[in-house]
Amino acid sequence: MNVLPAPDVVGAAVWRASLCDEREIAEHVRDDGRRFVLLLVALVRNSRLGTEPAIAASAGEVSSLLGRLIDTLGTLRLVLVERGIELNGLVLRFSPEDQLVANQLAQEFVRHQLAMLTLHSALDTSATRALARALAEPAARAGQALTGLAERLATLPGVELSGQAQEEPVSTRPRDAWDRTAAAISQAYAALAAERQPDLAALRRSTDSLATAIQSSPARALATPVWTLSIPYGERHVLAVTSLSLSLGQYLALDPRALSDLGLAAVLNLAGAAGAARADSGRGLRRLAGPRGFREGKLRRVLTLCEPGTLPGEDFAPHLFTRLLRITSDYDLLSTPRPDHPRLAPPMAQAALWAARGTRYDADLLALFVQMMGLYPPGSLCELSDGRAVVVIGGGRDAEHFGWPQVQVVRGGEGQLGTRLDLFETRESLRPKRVLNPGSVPFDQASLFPN
Amino acid sequence: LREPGAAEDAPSELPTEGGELSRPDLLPAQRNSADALKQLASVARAFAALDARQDEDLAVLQRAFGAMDTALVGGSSLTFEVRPTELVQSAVVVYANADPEKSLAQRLHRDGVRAFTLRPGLDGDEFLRLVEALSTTFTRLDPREDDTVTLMRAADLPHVELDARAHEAVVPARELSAGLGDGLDLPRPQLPTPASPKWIDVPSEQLAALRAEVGPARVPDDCLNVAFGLHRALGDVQAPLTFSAVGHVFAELRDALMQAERLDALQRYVSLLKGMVLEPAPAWDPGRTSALRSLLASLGAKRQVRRLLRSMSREERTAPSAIIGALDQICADPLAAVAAILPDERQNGVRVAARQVLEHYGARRLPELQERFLAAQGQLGSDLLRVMAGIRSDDAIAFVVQQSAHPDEAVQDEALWHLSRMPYSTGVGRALLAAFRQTSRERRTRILDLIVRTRDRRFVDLLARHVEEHAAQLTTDEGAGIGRTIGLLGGEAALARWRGWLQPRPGETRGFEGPLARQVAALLALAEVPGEAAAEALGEAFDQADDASQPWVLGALAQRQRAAARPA
Repeated sequence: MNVLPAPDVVGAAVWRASLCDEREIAEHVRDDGRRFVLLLVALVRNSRLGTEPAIAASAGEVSSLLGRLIDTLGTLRLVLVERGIELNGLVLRFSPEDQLVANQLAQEFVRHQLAMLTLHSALDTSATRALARALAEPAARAGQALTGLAERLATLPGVELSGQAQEEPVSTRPRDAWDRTAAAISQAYAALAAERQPDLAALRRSTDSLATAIQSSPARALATPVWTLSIPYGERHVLAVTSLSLSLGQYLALDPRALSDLGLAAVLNLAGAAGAARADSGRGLRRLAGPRGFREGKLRRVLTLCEPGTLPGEDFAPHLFTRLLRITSDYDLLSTPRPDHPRLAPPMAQAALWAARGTRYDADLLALFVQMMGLYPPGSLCELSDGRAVVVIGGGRDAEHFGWPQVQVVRGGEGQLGTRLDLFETRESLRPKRVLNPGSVPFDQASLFPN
Repeated sequence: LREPGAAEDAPSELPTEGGELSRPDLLPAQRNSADALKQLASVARAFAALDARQDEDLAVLQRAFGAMDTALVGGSSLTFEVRPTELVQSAVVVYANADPEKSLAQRLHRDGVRAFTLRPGLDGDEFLRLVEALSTTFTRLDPREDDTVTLMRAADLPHVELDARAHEAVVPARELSAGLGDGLDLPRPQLPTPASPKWIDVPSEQLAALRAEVGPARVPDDCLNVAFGLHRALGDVQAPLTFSAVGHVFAELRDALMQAERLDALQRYVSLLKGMVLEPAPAWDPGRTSALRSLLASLGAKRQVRRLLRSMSREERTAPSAIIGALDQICADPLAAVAAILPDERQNGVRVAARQVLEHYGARRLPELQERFLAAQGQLGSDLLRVMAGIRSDDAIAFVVQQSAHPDEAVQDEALWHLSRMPYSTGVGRALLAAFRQTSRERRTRILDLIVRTRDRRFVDLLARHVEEHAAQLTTDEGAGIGRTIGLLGGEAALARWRGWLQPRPGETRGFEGPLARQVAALLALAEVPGEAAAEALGEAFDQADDASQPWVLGALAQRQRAAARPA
């Protein structure tokens, strides 16, 4: 029969799991959560029928209890489920009498077509009253109830509303992974702009699927520039850095856990760094430090913001992720088109980075990056010795093939793609003659890897 | 049981301890699947609290793995449809649990998993990673940065395949506010004159070093670096940051460093916090100092100290000095902090570690330990007594010895256990005698065995007097036990005294004077005394014995024969 690993290996796994064990906290949260729900129902009821002193008193209680819950949980999430209301994934069980009261909150949710109410920060008494008043008011007309509620709550900070989630099968087409991650990045940065905690689990799932897509087709990942996607430049840059970082992480053979953390760190790095350009490092740290609970990935995310310091005891070098993201981010800043900025051809961008190898950039990581990309990084436009224009579609392979990329010929003025060539195979008769400026020979980038 | 493809199958059996439904009506293969899933769910729920140093806990894990192994033994994959509270195999419900917080099905369904497949070849390492990944789904509160899908992907499970769906929540239009947009204007790096890149081989040891930077061994350093980084950010006047905004991260670092293998980092972390407390709080964060003091105080809280003790190796016999150093640093009163763990501690490993640490602190604070012991009962009393026995000072040993006559039998057992292992002394002898006089009949036999092992002949007179004074109340079995003891200890020198207990009953042709228990004691003593004189005395006793004493005389003679037959 198969046997389990040695007790010390089991012990290490148990120890890691125990760091995630929040059941002790859950018991306190459950108690406070029950009270919160009952008090909120009372406040909503008072908002309809109550006197001013009664409203003020119960709003104060709700506000104070909410502050305590936010303090413990970081974010409070009330979710409508079949059995009633769950609080941050905890089932709230009530006595039969209290259950009848708690059910009223579920009814308010149903009336407003609200599936989830998320509070990202504590609310003062007047904001708490506004929340209760909005819930107490009649729902907008059918189909518009949630929008109506959102309009009423527009001025409240950190209040997020969601309707019933639609379930969608996850596409297995590799190219969809970039679109999905782009959408997740947009949502995350929209949340951050509104001072909310993004849904990191959903974001991680997107970056994980991007990592899977890259693994299944590394060449596509490098050769399909994300700037062909119709998304704003900011999100595009984040997606490009994430995609390149995951490629480099895989090239380095990081384990799946570290790779997953790298993907999330790459997406959120800009949120922290652009607490940006260190104008508001505190804000950046706050963003990277949520949600609550220890996780190694969070450490690594926060470390991407922590440059080596000069205080006693601070003798650490920049974290691996920091060094890696510096390469991928700078490469994208140099080589990707953006509004009002000229861009360098990929080989030129890489050569610029290479000049700072060992100073600004980690020497080994940059060597790996260049190995992965080749002398002519995927996506580069070149002119061959026979005058044909080609686009590079493969990375560096090995030392022998490094300067001899795989390419696809760009045909005529229509920009259609033609024959694929391995220049290593044809090196006796055909070689790259010069690097062309990006955009100088138009062609359909999306058709490089049609699926 | 319906055939596959038949109408909806519904579970109807009794829930088990974890809330899972148990269905005896399943076919054998389905029952194997059901058992594997039930045990997987059960062990995943309990995993974070397991004690890997305890064989019973490891056995639970091994059983769950065995059940999985059995379910996969046929060589074909097992695919389960995931419903909100059920797992279904070929249209038959093989797992059901209506409790959403305990249900494996609910955890998977919540995170979008709609089917999963287990493939043969899943070994012990992979099973452990699977359990660890599932454990977190039961123990983490929302919002999480991982769900079941991402956790299982990160766990690298080649023999587990998930079919997961994405959830797209309907969001009011207002919610879709702008993110980064086209306006993002990051500066391009200022770089020297470009240089042509070359292929450079990176040595394998340097590649390994890069990978190790995100390995488990780096976590303590990463924790420290985060703490230093946050400290610097908290002092940045350009970007005022309150401690409350990042205090939870400091608390998480505390939890992660509270481990025997991470004590160097823990001590540096504590030093950092102690330094931060002394810094003046900035104007924008007046509550910082008191928050830091609370955080420092929390280091010595029961939960944290327990974490530290839980991480101690079971190979250690005494508490390592590094642990003691850490406890000195994090606890205002380490003895009190560690003693507070014992009353309701379930894990044996933690109890062992706590006792080792208490031995260290208790050596200088014995009266306090004694006070705690006197206020304790049952298991806690036994633990504290064991601590004092481990201290091994004269005072501590004397105290343990005294407890052999303790009214609480659990404590008495503990004290006797220690007495049996202590070097013999007059104090130990006195304690044994006191315990013998005060304890129950059952324990007296145990104490007599201990007395024999002392070889102290002073017990002969004391026990003989006990027989003479209490013979009327003693049972014959008790008399026999004492007799064997005094015979073994007294030897030929005490022969006359035992013969004196076997005087013929006046006016009778057969039988002896005095209570039967005393007669039995004398006979069994003679059985253990070497030499012809004792044999003769037993022969005379045989002639004089009446119906009540004769069986004991025969027993004594048989005992002598057995003793004579044994090699010297």
